[in-house]
Amino acid sequence: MMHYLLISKDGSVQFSHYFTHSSPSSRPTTEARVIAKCTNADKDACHFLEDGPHTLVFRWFGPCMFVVAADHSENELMIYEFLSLYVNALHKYFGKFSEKHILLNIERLHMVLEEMVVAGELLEPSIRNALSPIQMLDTISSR
Amino acid sequence: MNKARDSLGTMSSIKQVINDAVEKGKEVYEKVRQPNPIRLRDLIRQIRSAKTAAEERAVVNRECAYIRLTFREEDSVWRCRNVAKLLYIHMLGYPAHFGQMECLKLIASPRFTDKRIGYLGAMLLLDERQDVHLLITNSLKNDLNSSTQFVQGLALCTLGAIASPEMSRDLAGEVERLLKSSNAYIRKKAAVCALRIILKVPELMEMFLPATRSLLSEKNHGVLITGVTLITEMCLQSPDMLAHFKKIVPNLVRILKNLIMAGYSPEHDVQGVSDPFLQVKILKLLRILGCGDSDASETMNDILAQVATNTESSKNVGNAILYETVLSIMDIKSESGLRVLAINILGRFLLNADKNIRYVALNTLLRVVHADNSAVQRHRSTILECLKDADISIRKRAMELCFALINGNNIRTMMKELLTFLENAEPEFKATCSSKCVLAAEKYSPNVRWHIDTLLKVVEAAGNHVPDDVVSSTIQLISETRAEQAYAVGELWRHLSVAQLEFQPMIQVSTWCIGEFGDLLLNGQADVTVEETQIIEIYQKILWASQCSITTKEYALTSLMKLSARLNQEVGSIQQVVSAFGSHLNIELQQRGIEYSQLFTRHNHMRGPLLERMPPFEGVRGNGTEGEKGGIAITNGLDNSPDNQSLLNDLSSPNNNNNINSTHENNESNALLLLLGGIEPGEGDTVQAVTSPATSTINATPAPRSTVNADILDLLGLEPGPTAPSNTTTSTSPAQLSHTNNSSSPALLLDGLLNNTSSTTTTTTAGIASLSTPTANSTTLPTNNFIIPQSLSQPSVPGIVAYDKNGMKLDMTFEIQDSVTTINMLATNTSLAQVTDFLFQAAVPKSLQLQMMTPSSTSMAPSATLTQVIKVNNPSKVPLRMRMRLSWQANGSVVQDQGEISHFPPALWQ
Repeated sequence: MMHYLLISKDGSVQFSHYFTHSSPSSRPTTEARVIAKCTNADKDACHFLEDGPHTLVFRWFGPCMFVVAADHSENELMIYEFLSLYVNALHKYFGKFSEKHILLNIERLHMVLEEMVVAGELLEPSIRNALSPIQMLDTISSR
Repeated sequence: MNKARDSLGTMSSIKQVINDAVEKGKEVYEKVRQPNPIRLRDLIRQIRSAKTAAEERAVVNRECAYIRLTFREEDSVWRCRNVAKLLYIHMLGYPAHFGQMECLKLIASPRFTDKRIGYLGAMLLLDERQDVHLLITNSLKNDLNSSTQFVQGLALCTLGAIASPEMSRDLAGEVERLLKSSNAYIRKKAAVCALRIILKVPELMEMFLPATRSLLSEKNHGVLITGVTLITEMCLQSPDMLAHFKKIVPNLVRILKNLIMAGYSPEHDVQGVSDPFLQVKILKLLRILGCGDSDASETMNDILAQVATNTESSKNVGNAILYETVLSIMDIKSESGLRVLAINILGRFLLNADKNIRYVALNTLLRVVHADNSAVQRHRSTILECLKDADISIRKRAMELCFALINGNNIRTMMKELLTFLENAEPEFKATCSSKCVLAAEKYSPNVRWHIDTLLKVVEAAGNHVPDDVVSSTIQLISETRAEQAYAVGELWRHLSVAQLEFQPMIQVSTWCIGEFGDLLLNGQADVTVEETQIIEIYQKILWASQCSITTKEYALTSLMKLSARLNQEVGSIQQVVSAFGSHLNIELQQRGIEYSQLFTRHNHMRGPLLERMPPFEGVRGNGTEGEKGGIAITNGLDNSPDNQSLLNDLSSPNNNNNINSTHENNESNALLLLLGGIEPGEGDTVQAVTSPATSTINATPAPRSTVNADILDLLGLEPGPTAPSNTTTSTSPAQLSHTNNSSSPALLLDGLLNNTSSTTTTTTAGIASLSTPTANSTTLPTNNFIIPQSLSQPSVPGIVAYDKNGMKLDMTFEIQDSVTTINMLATNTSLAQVTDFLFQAAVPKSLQLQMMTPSSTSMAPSATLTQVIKVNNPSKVPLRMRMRLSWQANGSVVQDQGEISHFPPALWQ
């Protein structure tokens, strides 16, 4: 089960989404620790780190680093692959996803993620299926 | 005419201007009264452009104040935008709970845009507060019954993210209905919701069972993947479900086969592999279903072989599938050929250039090493190579794996590599690595000489990161192997004479041993020639070095004192050094200095006998569990002595105070004399001492006593007086013994104990001091007797077994101090699985106060233990009861249990 997903750039949190409950007051410290841990890892180092009860899986996409904290029992390689699935979905949704979309459409990032992961479990492995309801809702809302 | 028209035109244009001005003024007024809120992106820009944290806070606070204002004014036009901004502010870590109600209002709105933001806000902002949950439950219920699939979908998503147990109970019916919906989009979301619900309320599992089965006959991959996940969770949670779902193995095999055989489908293709996400989920479920079931394993053998051989291993996705396949093959009762195939895949992984793959390989080997040690042994050299990897995660896994691979045959080579690793390891590794080295050496060392050598190397290599138990294990080993003491002390002298003073543990071990066995060093038995002056020089260097810690200096001072009975010429200079400490700034050292000085002057005649060698420590090193059991047994001939008995009782009762001195002085001295002098040679080899609060009061008012008795009591009466006889095996922390063996102050003794409790909890509770009886002059003076209080626990209160289920055993022992009962809980993992995330929670009746200390660890290997101290203040002396809740993870699943402990011994509150 995945617990949260963070997107960080230049060492600060740009986006965070929690799949399971965690106390809001402890979040900033956790996020800071996790991001420092992942950013400090060497470029060619292994992308899995241990963080207490969670395994951190991180992956760089351009200047942005995506981190997922998952249970130790999860398949790390698959989480790693999921991160690219998510980014590909964002690419497809925004045309070409870049950091400015985090700035301008942060709620869309949440919505795309929600169509792919609920309660920490993967919901939809197909990008097209994941995006179609969002796109349909977008057209309904803009009317 | 023209003029008139002109003036008319002017008039109208003036009117126009005036009207315009009025309009503008109105607009400006509107703006001032209620400005449009800035957009989210502008807010983000403002926040990002803040140069300092204070500036950022100011921007956020201003915006929050504004948002609150609009919320109060019930402004529904901008509510959506404001909530969106609040979500961003929340993400930055600022409090945003005041937006919860607004989210609920948005959810209730009929507009899609509002609903989306409202639900998003609910997911992100809601905490565990009950009142809000009740409100949102109603909105969710409405939306789950909506006729629009998107509204249903939104509600399901939210429920999946925030469902509490109450919500789960209230909405399970709706979810179950949607699980049977004809719409795949709704079905998959309902399945994840059901997953969340059964995680919160396992009893509801039955309800979803029929609908869950039909999820597998689905074409849509989203529904399939969520269905498989749901079944996996059900199987993990309940053995009944596991048995029930055994029959779906053929279905799963068929789905997996279709996935592999299916041609290219653009929708689910990831780097040429057809839906790896689904494949991995199915493989995981197969593993759970096939574990320990030969029929099920038989059914899946072929497909696993197929996946293992056909999956492309050049890409990450392929490796992810292979990784899952290997785990499944090793977990189920698969054919031996298949297992060889799996181990070979891991071998290939280990050599892969991609660090992620190497990490995964080590991780997997670590998980299968208990099942098939010999297969993993084949990759030993590669694993040892990984110890030198630049990557920290890989090295950590490799280290853990190495310790799992050590056995009697390979210990020499493995230990050599591990010592090299230990020397260069990061500080965070050193403590665990050195502890594990000690355990491995303990278990497999080929001979004692090698064992001692290894421990010394471990202490040296780990520098200052040696845990205390390693120091004490080393000392204990040397103390109990008489034949190797000369060798060990020689080696240690060599270390000490060139020692760098910043590494404390090595100095501690060295000084302890040289203090005890210094005579072996001088009489040429050790393989070195040492002058007495050299020894004194080194000790002076240590004692005055600023790099040495106080603890090290305590070791050194006691050791030096011991040496005064071993050396011949330099006794004078020892006296000088020791008395110089009488004015040391550290109170502990000062006390030792003054007390030891007394042994040169007033009690010089006792110095020799008092500083005799410690008897060898017997029993188990490192692991406190066995000592713990031994600590309860009290059988000794001295039990019969009524004086002694009464004294023990008196002193161990918590109500002790000053008057004990006068009333029981007689008893006390008798008892002590009896203990010290009256023991027949050879009988009752060990005596346990018990410290109690009363000891300090004895110290406070020393009464005049006569001659020899007085001497003994002066010396030993300062020590906690009462002694409980026991011939249990000793399992003591030598570090503590060396702290305390020569000292004569209870404060110091207690200090020593308290200082050490954090690091050597297991040994402390298990500890029993030994007091060997004198053989030569047993009637007048003790020769080598030290009463060493080790355990604060009162033997009069028996320990209890608080819990013994599900592969977990909790033992509790008690210590009473006034109204505070200290419960030492020892948790033992009696299962075969690694336990992680161990959590013990407790509650006591209101009149009691409870304080939980942090546990010594949260994970336990099979048959390992951890300790946790719980303090209960019981001022009104009511019967102690405790509700407890336990949870831990084993085999990847969470075990939870709760119960009440009501069988505490009544002595705790009487």
